[in-house]
Amino acid sequence: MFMKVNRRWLKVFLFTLVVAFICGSVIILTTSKNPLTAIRWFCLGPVSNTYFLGNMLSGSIPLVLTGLAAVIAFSAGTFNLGLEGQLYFATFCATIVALHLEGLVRSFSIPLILFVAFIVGGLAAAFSGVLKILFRVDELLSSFLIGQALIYIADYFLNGPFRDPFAGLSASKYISGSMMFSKILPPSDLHSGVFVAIAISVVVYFVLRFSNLGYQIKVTGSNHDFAHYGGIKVHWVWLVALFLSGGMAGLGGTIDVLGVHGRMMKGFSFGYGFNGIAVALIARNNPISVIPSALLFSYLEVGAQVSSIMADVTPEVSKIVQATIFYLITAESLADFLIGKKVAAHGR
Amino acid sequence: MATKVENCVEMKEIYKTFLLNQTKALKGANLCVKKGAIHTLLGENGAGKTTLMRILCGLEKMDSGRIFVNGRHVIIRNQHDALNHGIAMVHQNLSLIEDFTALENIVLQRTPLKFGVFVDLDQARKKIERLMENSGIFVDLDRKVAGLSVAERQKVEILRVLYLEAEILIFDEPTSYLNEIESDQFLRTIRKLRDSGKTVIFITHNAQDALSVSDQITVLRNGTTVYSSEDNNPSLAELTKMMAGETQIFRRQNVHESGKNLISIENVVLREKKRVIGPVSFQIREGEILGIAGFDSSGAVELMEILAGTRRPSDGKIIFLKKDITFQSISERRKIGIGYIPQKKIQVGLSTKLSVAYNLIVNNYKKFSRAGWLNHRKIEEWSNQLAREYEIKISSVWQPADTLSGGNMHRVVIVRELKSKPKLLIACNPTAGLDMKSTDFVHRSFLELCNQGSSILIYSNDLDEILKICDRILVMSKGRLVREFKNTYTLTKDRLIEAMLVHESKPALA
Ligand SMILES: Nc1ncnc2c1ncn2[C@@H]1O[C@H](COP(=O)(O)OP(=O)(O)OP(=O)(O)O)[C@@H](O)[C@H]1O
Ligand SMILES: [Mg+2]
Repeated sequence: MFMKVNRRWLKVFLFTLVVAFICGSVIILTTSKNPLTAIRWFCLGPVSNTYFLGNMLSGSIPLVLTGLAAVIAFSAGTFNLGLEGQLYFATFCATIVALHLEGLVRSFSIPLILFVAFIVGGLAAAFSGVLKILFRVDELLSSFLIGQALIYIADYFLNGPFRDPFAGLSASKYISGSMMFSKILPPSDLHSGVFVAIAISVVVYFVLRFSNLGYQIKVTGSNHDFAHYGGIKVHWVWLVALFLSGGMAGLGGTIDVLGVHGRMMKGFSFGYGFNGIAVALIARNNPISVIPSALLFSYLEVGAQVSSIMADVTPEVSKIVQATIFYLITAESLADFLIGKKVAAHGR
Repeated sequence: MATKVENCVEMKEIYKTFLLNQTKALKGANLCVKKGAIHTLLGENGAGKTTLMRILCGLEKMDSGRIFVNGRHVIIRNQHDALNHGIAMVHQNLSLIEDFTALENIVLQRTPLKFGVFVDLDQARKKIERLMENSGIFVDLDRKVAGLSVAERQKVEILRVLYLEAEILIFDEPTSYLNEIESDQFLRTIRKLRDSGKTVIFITHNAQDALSVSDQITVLRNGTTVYSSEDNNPSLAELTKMMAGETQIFRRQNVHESGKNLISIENVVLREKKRVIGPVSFQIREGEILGIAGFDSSGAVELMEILAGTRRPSDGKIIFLKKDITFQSISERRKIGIGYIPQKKIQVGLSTKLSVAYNLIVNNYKKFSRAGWLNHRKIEEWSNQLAREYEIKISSVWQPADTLSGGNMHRVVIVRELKSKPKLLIACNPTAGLDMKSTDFVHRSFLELCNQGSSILIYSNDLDEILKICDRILVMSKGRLVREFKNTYTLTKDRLIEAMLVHESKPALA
């Protein structure tokens, strides 16, 4: 039975993929003077050499983690729209800690930095959970608003006390190279953080699928009245899920900094949070499917970049395509309908 | 012109297999409905009644078979097609949107528009008011559905299908969630509808109801039509036999008087915006089955919720086994042995998107876990065993609960609560929606539970049920306990109803 469901998911995914590329091509056709080369670079650029391939893979890492973050929150029936801010603030804090960690062994410092990011991101998200439970504040709004505020707070410090005076933009100092993930496919950005991301997806998959906590999350997410009735502590589950969600977001940004940028830069993560939500929607809340979905997003991003370097296309193409996909999957039933499945009936 | 009355719906040799679990729900079912008749579709839980009607409404695709409407072969692809042929259905689990008013719910499917964009509720309101007058069904159009009782919700649903100008109205087990008086009223309503020229298809598993209102009866068993009446009148016994085969009726009424006190309710009060329930005080002894009779408006359901722990009382005390549990949460109460079958079995008692197995273990999943991980093999074994033992019709315990028939969903809730062997089982309408055989089975299980020393508190709309299995009966009216009866052979339904009406000086049902 699970196989069947997966095959169905695959169909929807392929459908999304085809639509994405058709849609991208159409946009290029209408804007480019030399559309054929541009389309070729857009569609095949990311796999045309190891440099682009590596960048594509490394670009998907933060999306995998924010995707997982969204999956966890959705599964418990909560909405975490603050991923963007949680990620940014947690990464900022983790970077500050990393800057003070000179001279520690690597196998100790990296986990410590990630741990800090996880806790900070988690607490930021869990705070919205507390508001939801104590004051019935909708976590969808509060997480978003708090997230935005956290971005400004982090930016203030990044521009002020923690700014590297020698940097041309607002950014922190560089983290010592001994605390960075090692590169895998130089000169591309791909780094060993990719294994961390894969491992975390697998862990999240198993936890959601087979653990007590996963059961509680699924029951609460599917019907919280039923969960409460069955004796599950719904409030607690919400808090834990939001905490884990924020934590994942924090990891996403920090792994990106430790692997690619080497320092915290203003606006480095723009879009990771919201794209993560789209990734989770495409993955239909399955932690394993998050990986291909994140790859798709990253592929579009890199494809657009490549074709803007190689031809006369603006890199914003990827944004438009992503937006189109977002609309398509939000109107989920459309995809269902088009691949020949009957529309869900109402009532029973 | 012709002497023969026209058949307005004919369904011939309908087959339906659910791919998900390879269930053959219909195996050559036939149905032939006369125009302007009340046609009853009778059958046990899982016989395929709902499926057959969902096919007629375009909510489900059939494998093969033909449908004729007014003598013409038609193909019904979706709800829209069905509506164009004048067919509409009131579902088994009423599906209204809680946050909308009655009016908004009624017009939802066909919103009247002004200038093609603005919703024109005034025009709709006029039309509905006319409908109410013609049909004699009245509801307060501006109330939110969340605040309506089931009977009122049902009226909203009826107005909804009338508003859609349906000629053929399908009701899926409408009486299973109504009490005696409401049921009577409902049956009167559909007679009135028939007299105004509508055709009514009425699904039930209650042979008695079938006989009392219908012009025609079709009996479905295991997906095939086993009987369809033309003019001959079958007897109750015949019908019952056709549905299922054997059933036994039993009575017990040996009153327990010796047991120790299990739970005391002391002056419990619930204050809400418009009404006050209580103060209520009573006790339940060990091994006793206590019944509460009352209308839905009597506050009995709220009282049950307070005892189960899903609602906080405004005042008063609940003492369970000498411990004050007034402020304990439902999960703590479950731990000390209080089980609960809620009024809203499908909405609260189940999570329909989750698998049957996950629904069965919600109150004891920790039993299947080691070091924080669930053992799915054990869960599967255990659920399979329960399904077999209690005859829940499923093909796999991992199928989502919403693929079960209405009756089988109820069974899942009941079985789960019975299996946890509670010291006190609180049950709201435990057998609503179950056919006779399963009802009988539930009652037997209740008695068995009591013989092991547990107690049961039952609130039921079905007074026969209360008279059948309870030792003692409390009657509630307008938030207060008004009478207490020992259940002896001399007690009759009339005396219960009389007591239920004590405070209902004016008829509460508008
Ligand atoms: N969506 C579905 N997917 C798979 N199986 C289904 C689905 N809907 C119904 N079934 C199966 O089809 C059979 C007939 O179900 P149906 O709902 O028609 O029964 P019913 O006669 O309405 O019974 P009840 O009185 O319990 O409501 C059952 O065995 C049920 O499990
Ligand atoms: Mg049914």
